[in-house]
Amino acid sequence: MLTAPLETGRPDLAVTLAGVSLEHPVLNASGTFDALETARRFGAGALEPFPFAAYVPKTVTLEARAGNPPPRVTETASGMINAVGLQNPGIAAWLDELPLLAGVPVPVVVNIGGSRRADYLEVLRRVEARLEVHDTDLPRVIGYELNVSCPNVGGGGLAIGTQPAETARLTAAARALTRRLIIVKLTPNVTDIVAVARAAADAGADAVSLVNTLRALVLDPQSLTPCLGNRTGGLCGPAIKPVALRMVWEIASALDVPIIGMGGIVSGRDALEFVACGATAVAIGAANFTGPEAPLRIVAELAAEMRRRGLTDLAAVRGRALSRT
Amino acid sequence: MSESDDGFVMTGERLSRTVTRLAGRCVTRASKKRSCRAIASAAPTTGRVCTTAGMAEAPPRSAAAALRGEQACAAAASGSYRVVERRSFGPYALLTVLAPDVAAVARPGQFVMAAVPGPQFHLRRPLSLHSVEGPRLRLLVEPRGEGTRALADTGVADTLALTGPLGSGFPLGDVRAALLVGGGIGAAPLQFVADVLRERGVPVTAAFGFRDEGQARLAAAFEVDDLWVATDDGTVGRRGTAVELASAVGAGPQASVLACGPAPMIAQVGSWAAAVGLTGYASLEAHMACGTGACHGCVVATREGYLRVCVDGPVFPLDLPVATGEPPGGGVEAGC
Repeated sequence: MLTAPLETGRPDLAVTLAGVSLEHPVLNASGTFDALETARRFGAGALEPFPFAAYVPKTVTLEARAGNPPPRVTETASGMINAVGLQNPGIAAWLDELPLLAGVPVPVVVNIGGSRRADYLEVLRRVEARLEVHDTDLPRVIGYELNVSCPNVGGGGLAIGTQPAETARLTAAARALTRRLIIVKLTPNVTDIVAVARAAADAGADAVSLVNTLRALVLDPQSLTPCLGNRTGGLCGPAIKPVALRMVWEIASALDVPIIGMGGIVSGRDALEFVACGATAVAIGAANFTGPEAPLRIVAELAAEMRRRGLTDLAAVRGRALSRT
Repeated sequence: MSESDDGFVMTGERLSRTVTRLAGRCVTRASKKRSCRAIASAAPTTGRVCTTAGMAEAPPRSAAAALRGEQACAAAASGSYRVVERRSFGPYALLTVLAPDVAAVARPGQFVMAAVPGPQFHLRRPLSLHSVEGPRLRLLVEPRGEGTRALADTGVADTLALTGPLGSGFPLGDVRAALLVGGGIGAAPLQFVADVLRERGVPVTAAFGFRDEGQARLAAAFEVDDLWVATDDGTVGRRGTAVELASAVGAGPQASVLACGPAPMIAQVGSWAAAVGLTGYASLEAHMACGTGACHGCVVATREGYLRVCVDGPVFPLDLPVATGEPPGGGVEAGC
């Protein structure tokens, strides 16, 4: 009975990510949720309330990318593998559609991919330039997520994100181009995640997000040849959650940089575990494919989980899993 | 698209205004026509439903086209629905699901994403609508892998979590006669096509090709007046492929070819139709993750580049897909 007030009141889910206030800690992982397509399929009601505290559109690159040959996705034990290959219309066409996102009621983080450092920077420059022109309503872009961790494209991507020095060079150059947030999305395909996170943070990143997918291979059971058109792909879903938790935990133990944790979150308890490992916010990826109800369910479960544990806010549990030294 | 200007469109406006307009129009519309309910996590069996007669003939649209105001209103629902009947055809199952809000707006050629019962699967499986009768959907399930096997094993009174209807339908407005060509489980949506055309008095002939006697048991799941069957090994009906059968059965010069099946079969149907001067549409199969246009996981190679089967299709003009040969691993047919 001592905790009665907590059982009835809704816990405070609000978080502040690198100075930006968010209503709750749950974002979407880039490429797993599309606000416009959701409105087209289900009607605007599906976006009221908006299912995420911030919206991260699918990766955009300088030039249009056709993507990888199909098949691009298949289910695996406790997860899925994908090799989409950053299919997107390129930054010019992407900017044409940017005003359509003006109605998104949450902050937007633009996810940028590329083959070379210069390409990332040119995309960022063009978005910044567009945001300077006030000819029409635009979404509230609070920052950029640099996707230096896509396992399914040649060059760029992993070639940057596995190298602390390359990550630092890109981050520093991007930092110089904007006052908005720079978030570096890290790959788990490294032996020392802290080294890459430190390189990003020291170069001026406001936050890191992790993990992107783990390089993986799935065979067709009949032919015993690779299932995916790209042959290898990226593994995601609950299968990778323990790996993701360990990496978030390592970074939070070593550095002060804010963390967006992701990798296999399918429940409110999963989300809370990432916070306990030091994450400020979390992102939902593969769980979006379990059905359109998933994100709001996870937010509701997170609130229920906090209530059950008598937690009034997330700060009370953030970092609980970290070693005390 | 006779009602494409009635407000049920995504125009070039920004999302907030479109949102308001759609919601407002849906309510107005609901009083006149069909139901319109908001998707709500608190009430998982309801979904926003709004439709127009014009939508029923909407051809496949790209996202870009949608933004130009050519895409009809959102109509999909998401929730848990009860299985009220199950029929078996060998290993295949024909599930009847009570899903009034999905059924009310479903069109031939559309599909649903069905959650696999049990906790071990994460991706939903795309299932085309075999037919719709009043508030009921019928889904024909082939147990290809563990997920579809669990779906096929769904019993009466079980619930299925579904999202749909999704994707484009077959544009049937101008069809004066139809030759339906189905390959294996791909024949599934052609029952819905036949039902709609029969209601309109349009003559329909169907040519279905199956692997063998076992798969040919699927033929019993169809009620089409003029149905022809072939098997690859000749154990049932004519020996040969669906395309060879279609060629033998033939079609008048006014007939539309409406096909559904694996990619290699669709390529053969396209070549044959072009050779004999027929046009039509094909519904394609693909591995999917989201089913709603977000992930770009289900693309097929077309003359316009990689298009998403889930929202740009699954129905495409017959001559749009390009044959790219068997993908590594045999693609969707291999069950990987």
